[in-house]
Amino acid sequence: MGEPIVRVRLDELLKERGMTLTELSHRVEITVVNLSILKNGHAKAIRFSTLARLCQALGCQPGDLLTYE
Amino acid sequence: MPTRWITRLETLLTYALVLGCLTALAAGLLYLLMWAPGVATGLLALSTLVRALRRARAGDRALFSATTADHLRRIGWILIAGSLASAALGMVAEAALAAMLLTESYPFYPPSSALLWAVVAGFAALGVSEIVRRGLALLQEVEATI
Repeated sequence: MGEPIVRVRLDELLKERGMTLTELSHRVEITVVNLSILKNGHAKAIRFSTLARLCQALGCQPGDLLTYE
Repeated sequence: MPTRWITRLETLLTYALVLGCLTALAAGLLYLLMWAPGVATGLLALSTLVRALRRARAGDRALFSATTADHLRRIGWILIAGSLASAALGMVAEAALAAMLLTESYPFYPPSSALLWAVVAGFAALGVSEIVRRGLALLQEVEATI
């Protein structure tokens, strides 16, 4: 059995809002590289400030962005 | 008849000469054992340090890396093991040399304080290596935080 992980649902939320990663990158002022790391599940941790900016840009709650699998 | 005496004297002198040479050789080897292992340890540690510093000059990330931690750990173990071995060899060699050359000698000669400091430096290098290793793990975690 694999180790349980927290997944960032960035892909789904971007699709729902018809937004690209580059556009989100400009809005939250985080590089596309770092957003890709988040999106692909390679990040080890996320700052509250990053989470807040993402929620603000995507108009969602932290719970919509993160899922536990 | 005098030639027989001369031959015997010659043989005796030859034996004495060989014995003298062997004693001198043994004394030389013992003298070498007193200081050579310590010098070899110091040179080995120094060369590892030079290699580590040469690599660290490439930049901050090269300095704060797993390789630096490995180099420091190697220096630490070289200093500790080398100094202890040098001290043991030196004490045995010094006692044997003293027994061979002096009319009055002791069975135990304490090692020099330089070797003790080398052991302390070895433990210090091991400590710094562990700090670099743990710091590196923290750095990698911080870098993976978005």
